[in-house]
Amino acid sequence: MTTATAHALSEHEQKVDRAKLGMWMFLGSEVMFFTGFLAAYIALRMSDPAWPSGHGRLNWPLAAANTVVLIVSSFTMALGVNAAQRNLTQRLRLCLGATALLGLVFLVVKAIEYNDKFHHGHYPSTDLFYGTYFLLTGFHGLHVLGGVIALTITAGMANRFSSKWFAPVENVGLYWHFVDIVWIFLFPTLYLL
Amino acid sequence: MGHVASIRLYVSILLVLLVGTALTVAASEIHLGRAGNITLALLIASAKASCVAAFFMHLKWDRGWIWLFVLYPLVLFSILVIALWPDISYRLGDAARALAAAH
Repeated sequence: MTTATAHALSEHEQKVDRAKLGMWMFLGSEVMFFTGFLAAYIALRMSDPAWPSGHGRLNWPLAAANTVVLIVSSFTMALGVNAAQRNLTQRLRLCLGATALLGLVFLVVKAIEYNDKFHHGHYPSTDLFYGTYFLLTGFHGLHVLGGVIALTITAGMANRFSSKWFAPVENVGLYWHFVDIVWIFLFPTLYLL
Repeated sequence: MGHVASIRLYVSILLVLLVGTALTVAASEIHLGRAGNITLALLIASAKASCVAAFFMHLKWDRGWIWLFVLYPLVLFSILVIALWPDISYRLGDAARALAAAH
């Protein structure tokens, strides 16, 4: 390898790193976005000795099933990035499609859950318990929806990626795993405790 | 192009996360007191989140600036939650007084 190509490669790699760094900066701001709501939730919950447990009020088995769906989708996403690294376009498309589909399953289950709550007359305005429940799961759900759209677009572009350039795949992956991490904390906090 | 991990590693992380989810549900069935159950649930969730971040998000193989953008929001999060304490204890005091007045 000549010095010129070595230099060009490192510049290309730097560009990829910058895209990834940008995504991590965005995820940092996303952490703070959820921190605001979580802080409100913690303050309201901890200052009320009579705060009800989500165990009896919410459908935790449904939420547990949704947790499994999101974890498996994180796994298929990781396999997708791996396929891009190995130049396996067909597998990459399959993984991105499967991840988007699992995200859609999560949203359908969430819709069933919300519908059931509305059916029983539980709305965000009912009390602080339901107010914070709808706030946190609602904004998380919107993030899942955004991820499903981004994943679908990325799956459609799959043949444009190679092991040399797959920054959009890597970044949609980082975003998707972040959304999974938020749910990993929301599930026990809202539904089990 | 970053670190290329083996599929086997991803499968083991998936299994760890699924076992973690089962543990989360099981832990909520044991009664350890309010503080005990909250602590245990958050410990399991943190372990699961760390697995996702380290392996699925490739943080284990990342160096440099990325770590700044990982740690900085976590520090801010901790500061904000700790800063809630006076507010929580003040409101708890109010709630206790209201309860005492009602009896």
